[in-house]
Amino acid sequence: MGWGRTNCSLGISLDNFEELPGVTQEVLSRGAIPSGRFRSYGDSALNSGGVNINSNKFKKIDIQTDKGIAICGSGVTIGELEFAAHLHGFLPAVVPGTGYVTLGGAFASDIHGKSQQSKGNFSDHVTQITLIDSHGIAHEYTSDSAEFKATAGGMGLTGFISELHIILEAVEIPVIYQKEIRVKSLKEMLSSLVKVENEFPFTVAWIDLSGKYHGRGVVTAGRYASKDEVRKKYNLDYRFQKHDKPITIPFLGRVNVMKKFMIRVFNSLWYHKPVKCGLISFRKFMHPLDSISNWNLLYGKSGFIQYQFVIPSLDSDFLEEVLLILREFEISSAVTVLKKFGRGGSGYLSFPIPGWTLAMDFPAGTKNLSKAIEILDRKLIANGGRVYLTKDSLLNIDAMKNMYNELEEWKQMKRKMDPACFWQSDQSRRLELC
Amino acid sequence: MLNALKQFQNILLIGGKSEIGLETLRNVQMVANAKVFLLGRQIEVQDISIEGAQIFRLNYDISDSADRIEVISQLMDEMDFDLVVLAVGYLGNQPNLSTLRQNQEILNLNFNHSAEVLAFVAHRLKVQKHGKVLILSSVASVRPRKGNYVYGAAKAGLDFLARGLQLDLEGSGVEIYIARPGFVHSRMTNGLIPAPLAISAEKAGELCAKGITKSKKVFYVPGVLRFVMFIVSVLPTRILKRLN
Repeated sequence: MGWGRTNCSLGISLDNFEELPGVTQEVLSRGAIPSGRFRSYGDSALNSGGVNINSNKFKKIDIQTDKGIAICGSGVTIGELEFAAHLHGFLPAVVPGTGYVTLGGAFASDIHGKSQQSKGNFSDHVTQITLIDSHGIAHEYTSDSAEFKATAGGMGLTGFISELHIILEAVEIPVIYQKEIRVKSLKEMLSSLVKVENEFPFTVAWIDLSGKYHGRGVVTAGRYASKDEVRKKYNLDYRFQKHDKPITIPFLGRVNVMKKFMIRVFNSLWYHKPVKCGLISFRKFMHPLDSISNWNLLYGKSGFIQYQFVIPSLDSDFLEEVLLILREFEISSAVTVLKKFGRGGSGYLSFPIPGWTLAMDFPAGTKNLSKAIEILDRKLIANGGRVYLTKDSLLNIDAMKNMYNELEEWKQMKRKMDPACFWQSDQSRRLELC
Repeated sequence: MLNALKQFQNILLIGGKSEIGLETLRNVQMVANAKVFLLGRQIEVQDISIEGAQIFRLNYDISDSADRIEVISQLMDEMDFDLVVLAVGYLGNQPNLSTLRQNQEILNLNFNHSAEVLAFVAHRLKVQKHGKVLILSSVASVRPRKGNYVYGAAKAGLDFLARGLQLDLEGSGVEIYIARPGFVHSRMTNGLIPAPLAISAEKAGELCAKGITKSKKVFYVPGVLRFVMFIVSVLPTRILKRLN
């Protein structure tokens, strides 16, 4: 099941390639998709009727402090890498909003984080990958190869990533100095995000789309704290725990708690909460939602849809239009995150392009949602924008062709690397990527 | 492949000229430019449109033993189907019992050939582990009536097979829905005296499209016929004869 719980498929899950011969021909005819911790929101890690090869057994972590790199198995999670690396005074340069994503998944989605405008995407910090093809043969590809470019953001459709060489950043103390700024409008939010990035490499904004608001929210900016700053609150040899202890909210999963009223209450509370300026641990700053293990169950059985797009413009016009469309259709987004992208992605299907990106969460049963998203897709295409495939569960074939202008080049590489189209997923069938 | 809003992308209508079938497709939730394949006799010359969908017409005769499965098999090799509607039906003009052989066409079209296609489609959807099938059964399948019991027998057979397949497909991700329409105004019933609770093909299509979104796998069209047919099924024969 996808993280949004709207897509669910029946398939066979395997832990390694050696188990493939035991699978029937009928199942094999449906191909295979690599999978990690199933943090994609839609169907990109699902393969109905087919095989799902999980990366759980690929757990090697080798931190080479002299070179400042980590050689890791694809099943290692971002959180596990952070822990291992920080013991040696390093951290990954790009991490997403959750530490539960595997490194293989991070590469296949070419994830980005709060540091995107200064440090780019995950694949920008990977020098080499080992990719296993449909015959079980391992190939090594360096970052200058077309195969590497096809796999970064390639949604697992070019092969099974078994190992990655990741460049780490030297970080003395894993503590962030955080600054929060409450803003009353979208314009104020955008100018604030641009202003803070001179001093803070990590920036993100939460925006209230729960009612007739015009873009009020909170901008969060962060930088690594200096020793002097850390000394006041933590020990200089502060280290975080290997495993976080998240809260699990009981009785969730059957009923959608995130009704319009609750969404409004939650967003109001969040807007009015005291702004924090001070020290916070790296983990808590980078992965705020990881403190609740089952937050996706708040949306009940029908689940939720996350729609994340990027628009290649630093004006507010398109974003104002989006807010207007949502207000007109009376659609509320439970959690909305706005960020500035500074760089494009290196993969053919990498999502980021310089501009604004907005990620919205909608309960799946929201009235008029289909119509609104159809309009948003059309407007996005007209403005040169695109939707993030890792969050996607609604895109159609035509929209995909119009949004990703290197799709044909990617398909050529896909045909070269996987001529029998062994690597396939529910998403690849929905978007005719094979 | 279904998206997160459960909208159909690839749809197959076997019996592509069926008015109920087409109206059902006009009412189901489908993605923009969904692919709808219509299989039917001389269908390529028919002017059929479904708003928002790409229509592909293939000439298909379910009586043709060479093509019956082959055409469908080739289509299903190319892509996953989210919805297959089996709407082949032939009411015919039931002659006397002594000429039962002339009822062959009624039995073949409504049961023999349809059953073969249904079993094949169910199996292929089982391989893809997702998909819905809608078969058009009939209230005539509930209890024999003088004058259309051969048609009723054929529909009852198909109905029974579909219910058996439902048991087999439990947990497979494939769902088989059985619609039991009453009298529907269409080419098939042209010239006949409408039965009580008769509805239009448009209404039947709307109700069928709604029916396949519910958990009840066998549904009547219109829904009130469930109660009517329950009574019909338990009525003593001598009372039913008088009503006939």
